[in-house]
Amino acid sequence: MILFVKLFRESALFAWGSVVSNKLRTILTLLGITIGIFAIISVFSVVDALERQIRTSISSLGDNVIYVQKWPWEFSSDFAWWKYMNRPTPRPSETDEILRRTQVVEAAVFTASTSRTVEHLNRSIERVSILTASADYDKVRTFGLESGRYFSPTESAAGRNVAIIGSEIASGLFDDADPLGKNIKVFGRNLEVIGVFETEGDDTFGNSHDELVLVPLTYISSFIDVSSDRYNPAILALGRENFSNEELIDELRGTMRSIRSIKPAADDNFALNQTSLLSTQFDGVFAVLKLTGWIIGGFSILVGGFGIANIMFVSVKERTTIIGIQKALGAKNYFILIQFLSEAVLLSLMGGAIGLLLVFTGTWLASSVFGMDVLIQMSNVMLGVNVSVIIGLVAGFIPAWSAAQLNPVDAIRANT
Amino acid sequence: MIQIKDLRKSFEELQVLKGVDTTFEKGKTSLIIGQSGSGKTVFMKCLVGLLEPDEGDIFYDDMNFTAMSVRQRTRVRKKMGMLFQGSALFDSLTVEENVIFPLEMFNKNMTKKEKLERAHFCLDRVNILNANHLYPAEISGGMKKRVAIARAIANSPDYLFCDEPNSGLDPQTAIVIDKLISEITKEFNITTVVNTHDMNSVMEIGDHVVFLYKGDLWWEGSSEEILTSQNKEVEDFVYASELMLKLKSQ
Repeated sequence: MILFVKLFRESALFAWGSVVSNKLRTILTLLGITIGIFAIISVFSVVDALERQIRTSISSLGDNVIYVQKWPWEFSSDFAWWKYMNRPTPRPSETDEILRRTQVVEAAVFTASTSRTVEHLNRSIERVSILTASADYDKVRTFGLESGRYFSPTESAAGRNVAIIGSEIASGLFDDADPLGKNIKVFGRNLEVIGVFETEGDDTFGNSHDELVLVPLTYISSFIDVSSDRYNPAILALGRENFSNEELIDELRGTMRSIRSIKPAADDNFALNQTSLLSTQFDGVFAVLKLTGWIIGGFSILVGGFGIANIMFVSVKERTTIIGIQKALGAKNYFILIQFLSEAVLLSLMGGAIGLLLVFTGTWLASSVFGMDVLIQMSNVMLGVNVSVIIGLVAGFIPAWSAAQLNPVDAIRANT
Repeated sequence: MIQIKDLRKSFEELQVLKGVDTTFEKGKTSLIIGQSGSGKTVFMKCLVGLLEPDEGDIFYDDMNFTAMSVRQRTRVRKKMGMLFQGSALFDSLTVEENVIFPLEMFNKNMTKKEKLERAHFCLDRVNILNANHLYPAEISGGMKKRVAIARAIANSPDYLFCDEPNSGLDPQTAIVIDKLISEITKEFNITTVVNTHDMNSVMEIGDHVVFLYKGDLWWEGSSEEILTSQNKEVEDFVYASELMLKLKSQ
């Protein structure tokens, strides 16, 4: 084994000499592999970052929360909108019925949203998202408060004119001043600020609490019809622990059909949406993106593979005598084959390593200079290494095979 | 023993070997000599299978090498030791590892210790054991040649082929190497064939000398006999140098 390593070293040094003395040829040869690995791994890294971001955003909506809505979350071409548009919208009373009739729902909350101008003294912010929710919103959605508190049961039940505002709204209306206890004007009415959401930052779907105002449902429902389609009403049902989403959906379907008195043969007139549906929709997009990466990088790698095969043929030609002497002294075919295959893999790995280095540099620039959340994952590095090894093996096989098949007498004759 | 019968080889119209018949005995050093273009290199290459003869037979201990399959030839080749022109050592291996190389390749059943012992024995035989851990770049041309001899005999060959063993060596070292080849031939009872154009080698170790001239076996005999040969072409070759002429006149 040591002998093989040493002979491989001799071969590698010989090849290295050839590589160094023909720098331009080597660079052009390895460029294909480098560009290929760079293309594949950078696309994969970007897709991974995107996927991670989207999945985090989706999971912030709640993995075990079912959204009872009028419209289903579907993006397919056969979306039967004409079937859904005549459905009734969810109503606050249905939330109470769900809680009363089901066993697997831990908490259910009615939400509706609109957008309005929010004012404080002479300052105002236009098109602010106004979210209204029933009392248990804090149980269904995950969020933190930077200051203040959540609505008390009394405030929720009585419909007090209180609001919890996002950090962006707070800084926009109050600068550095404490907004707690101060009034903001929405819908032409005064609302007392009792809490400020923690800064969350934007997520992929714009679901952050940073730029919204949350008000109790009972307050808003006194002057607007929260069940109207234009306020995007929804019932968010959180399942109890130890119950699967499927069980939760089954029970919700039965309960909703019962509440709305739907006949056994009739279709549902509501949609039960879950966040995993969104993930499934994105899986296809990610697969297409990754395939694009493979296609772009694949062609480069193919060209690089031909380059490596070419350089290996030259290498075999230059070392024919050494091969002959080794074989004359008893070296078996596989011994020669492995030597040249290893060399091809080494060359390919060099190209791949440069490609990975470029991806590292790119991700470092993207994250440190442009603040993007792109990381090169170990699995992608391993993928780059594996692809390089496979290309080296494939490209080097025929030259290595031809070297291994050389008749020792012919090989020695090449130079004697 | 190697027997050659009516060996012929042509390259297109050019007949290089025109029917060579001779026998190389076991335990003797046989030298193939002749002018450039006489056919001695082609003859040697035919012997080891480098070239396929057009006609004739080569027998290795009564086994017809020319009629053998590739597999059978490989078996015979395992019994051949080769001393390449210019030593042809592997630069990345130490002296010891160079000698172990053919043992690694051919003797899978030998233990590491046995291989090392065999390598040391061969190196000791060529008086270079003390350089076992040095690399080829660290030793002289004569020492390299010794290592190449040690490597050639590592697998206890029945036949030893030496291609210009003295090329690139000073006369003194060349004599030492010649003697070493001759001693080893006798000691291990090997059939040794040396391709040379060096008359010193002929005088030092030539148990049997084959003189080729324009593709024919023109003359054969012992090293003593060649000096007294009346054959004009042999005389021209032997006494081509001033030194040999002076020796003759004395």
